Amino acid sequence: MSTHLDEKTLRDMSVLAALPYEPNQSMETLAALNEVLELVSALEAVEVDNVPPLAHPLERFQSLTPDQVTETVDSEALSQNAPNFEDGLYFVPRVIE
Amino acid sequence: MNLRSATIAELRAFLDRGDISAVELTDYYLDRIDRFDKSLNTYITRTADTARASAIAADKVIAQGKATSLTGIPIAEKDLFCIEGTRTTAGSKMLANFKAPYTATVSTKLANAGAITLGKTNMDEFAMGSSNENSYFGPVRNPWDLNRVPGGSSGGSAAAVAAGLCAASTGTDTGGSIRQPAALCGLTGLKPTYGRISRWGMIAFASSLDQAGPMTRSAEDAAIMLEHMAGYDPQDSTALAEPVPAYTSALNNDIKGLRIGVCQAFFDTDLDAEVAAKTREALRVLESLGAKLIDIALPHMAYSLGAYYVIAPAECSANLARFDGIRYGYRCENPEDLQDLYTRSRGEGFGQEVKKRILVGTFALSAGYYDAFYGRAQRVRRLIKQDFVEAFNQVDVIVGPTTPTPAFGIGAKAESGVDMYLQDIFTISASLAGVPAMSIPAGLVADLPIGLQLIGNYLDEATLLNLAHQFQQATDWHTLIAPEAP
Repeated sequence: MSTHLDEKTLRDMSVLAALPYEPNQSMETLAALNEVLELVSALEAVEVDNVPPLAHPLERFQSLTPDQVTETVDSEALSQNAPNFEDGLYFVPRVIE
Repeated sequence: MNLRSATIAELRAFLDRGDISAVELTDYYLDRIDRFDKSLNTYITRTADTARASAIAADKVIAQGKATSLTGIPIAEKDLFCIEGTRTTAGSKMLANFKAPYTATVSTKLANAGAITLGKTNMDEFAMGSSNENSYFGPVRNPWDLNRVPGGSSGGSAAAVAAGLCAASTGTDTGGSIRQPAALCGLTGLKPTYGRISRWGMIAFASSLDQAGPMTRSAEDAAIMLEHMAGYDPQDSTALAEPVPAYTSALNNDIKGLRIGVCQAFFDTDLDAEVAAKTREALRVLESLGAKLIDIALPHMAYSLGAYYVIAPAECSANLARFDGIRYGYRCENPEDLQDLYTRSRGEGFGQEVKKRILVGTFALSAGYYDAFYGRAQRVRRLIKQDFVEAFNQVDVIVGPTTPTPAFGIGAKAESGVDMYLQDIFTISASLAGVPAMSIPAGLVADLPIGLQLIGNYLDEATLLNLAHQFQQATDWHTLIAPEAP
């Protein structure tokens, strides 16, 4: 698990995370990320082979509710925060030329 | 009638006796905000008009003799809780102009109980930070020393209560974000059991860790707030369907014979010597009240920080994927194409710490690394939980320090991310296990407050509040006034 990120991995992660890859800041970013991974590398010392992962702190199933309509979405209210919204549509740059 | 030092319980008596009206009390706090918040920067958004309207309504309820314990009490809400029609920013440029289209369950419950919301408090961006220096709206200053941080991420909520700019506030805690700022500002702060309080309408950071809680001047006030905040919510599938006890009724229970676990590991880390001495002193106070001190071990606590900095970034990378510049939030200027819109909106809308954690989380969840990072961290998390389960077979409460040091200087840790992360070294394990924990004032070190952390068994907030209240009956650390906001 002792892993150090390199520039290629940083570029790949930036694409996956939809964040800009900025070559002039890559060394600084890599140093910050590798510092976190160094901290995380402490986990290598723990024997976990027969330990199941813990997904919910109380190990309870999430509660279910009946599949019924209980409220309607106010699309007008939701659209108020959209940067570019007209006639019920969210506008984005042209996708198909 | 000393309003500056008054607790919710004392304000309740003033209001019920007619010594002051809710409108006058609201104006008292709004005036203090005007006077002190230019230097403290605790509020991102003030809601003076709706606060006054709520106060008028509260006075009518009080006159009818129908007041709850919170009717007419002015509070502040961390700017992570959505309130319909009110700007809700999460401390981020990404949401700088976002007006919530609905109200968080916690905020609805508090408003229904008659609490008056004075505004939304400053915080580290998306609750990621331990100093409140990561806010797009500027750092918050600690009312005990304006050159020091108030802690984070609920730094605005903590500093606002400590400065007397509200009677109490809401905070959220993912790895210590209620307890650490409570400790650094001399407050009582409670992170309840995971699921005890609904997360609906609370902007998500790490969904398996996030929990709301009260930040107050006393344990009694925390009990009052929790009675109104807690409870099942069908809108949050992780909210626990458990009855809410009358926490205030248990405050005066005798703590003779209560078994208190003391974990030496808390004292073996980089703990400031004076903080350690104050913590030992507080333990002696509890012993003098009849509690029994028992040595316990939490063998995996040392791995908490490592597990947290995989799990929390992994969950944050998924939760923050929703901010794409299309449906809400910041959008960059003149995007060239759709990918450019996503990438530049996120790059310009998020701060450095948020982007760093998203990248760490993306890496930890990526193909080829998932098992080695995320899977391993979740397994270690189980071991940390088992440590607490075993400890609570022997003791009722675990007590130790909340933070390694008192408040540090603004800018002192900004250069080193991991140095900042160590602020939460004592608080993170309870978050990973999901057990309730709180911080209460336990003394001054170099004229700055420090906190005593009490960790309880699942759903046993009542015992924590009882113990904290009894400590506060025997000490007066919680009554001290921050000198920069007299």
